[in-house]
Amino acid sequence: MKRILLSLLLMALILGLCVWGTDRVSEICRNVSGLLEQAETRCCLGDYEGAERLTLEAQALWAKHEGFLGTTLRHTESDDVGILFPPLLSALRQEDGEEFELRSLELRATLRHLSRMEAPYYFNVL
Amino acid sequence: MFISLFRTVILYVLIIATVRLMGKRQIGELEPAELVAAILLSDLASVPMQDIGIPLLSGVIPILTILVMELITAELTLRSVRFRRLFCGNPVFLILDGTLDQKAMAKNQLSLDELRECLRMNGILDLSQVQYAILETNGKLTTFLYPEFSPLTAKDAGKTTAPLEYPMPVVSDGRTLTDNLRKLGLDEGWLEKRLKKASLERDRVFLMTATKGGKVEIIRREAAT
Repeated sequence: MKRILLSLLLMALILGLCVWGTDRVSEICRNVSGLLEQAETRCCLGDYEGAERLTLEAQALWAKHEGFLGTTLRHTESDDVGILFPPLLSALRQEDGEEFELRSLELRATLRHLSRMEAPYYFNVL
Repeated sequence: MFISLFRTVILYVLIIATVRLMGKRQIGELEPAELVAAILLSDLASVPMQDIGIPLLSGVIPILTILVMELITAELTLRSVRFRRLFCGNPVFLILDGTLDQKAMAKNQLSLDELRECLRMNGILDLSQVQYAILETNGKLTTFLYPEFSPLTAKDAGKTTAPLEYPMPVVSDGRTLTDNLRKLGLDEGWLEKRLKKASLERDRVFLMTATKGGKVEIIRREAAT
């Protein structure tokens, strides 16, 4: 009986770790995406400096959690996000609002995909 | 490359620990569920070892999950006959009182050639000598001959024999196994005396065994070439 209880406890810990990990990834992606959305709004208003500041903040937030993301996501997936920031910043520095919006949408879609990737939806499991 | 190296060490230790926790039967004969677990473990470990783009947790979590499943299954098979039958199956008599059960053979997809092969591997050439042949849940065939064809035992010959004494190692590769000495009711003093009698230093002993009856065997360590 003790073994079953210990096994169930270990399983509960593993489940808890998975839930926490998925939740954390979603939170990080949501926060980064939120900053990018704000940057888009700034860009639409013509405030490229403000948009750049917010984009750099988003980039820094992503870089801050790279260690954790590397342990939970495929490295190619997390690297893809990092790669998408420089073109964003380049578009802002050139004050190309359309290019920035396009790149930002792409990056936000990638972040949305990442947060859904590990969630226990039936299409992920199957 | 360092990453592969570190991951291999981590996963190797994890697999060893997992197999040990699953129990000795994993190393010996395997039940179907245990065989599945063993195959899965090796595959799961190899993927993050080779592909450094995959997080290590992608290998660790499934391995731990299999360990949990195995421990639960092992415990349930121990406690419940029904569960044991479901998971491990039942042993089947292929030969009962000398009669070959052809239906049982077909049900277990065992051909006559395979049966004869198993019998030969058990040292049996003549089917008619077999009283019982049981296909165990781990796939092995255990056989019991008719008494007239079985090797004679001391009891059959009306002889009495001394009880079997287990020779316990007390020195292994130059090291004293104090626990075993204690189990035999012996001590370091006795060991020193015996080694002195054999004119041997402890570090020159490869293996020394002793029984409760006082029988001692010593194998000397070979000189390094």
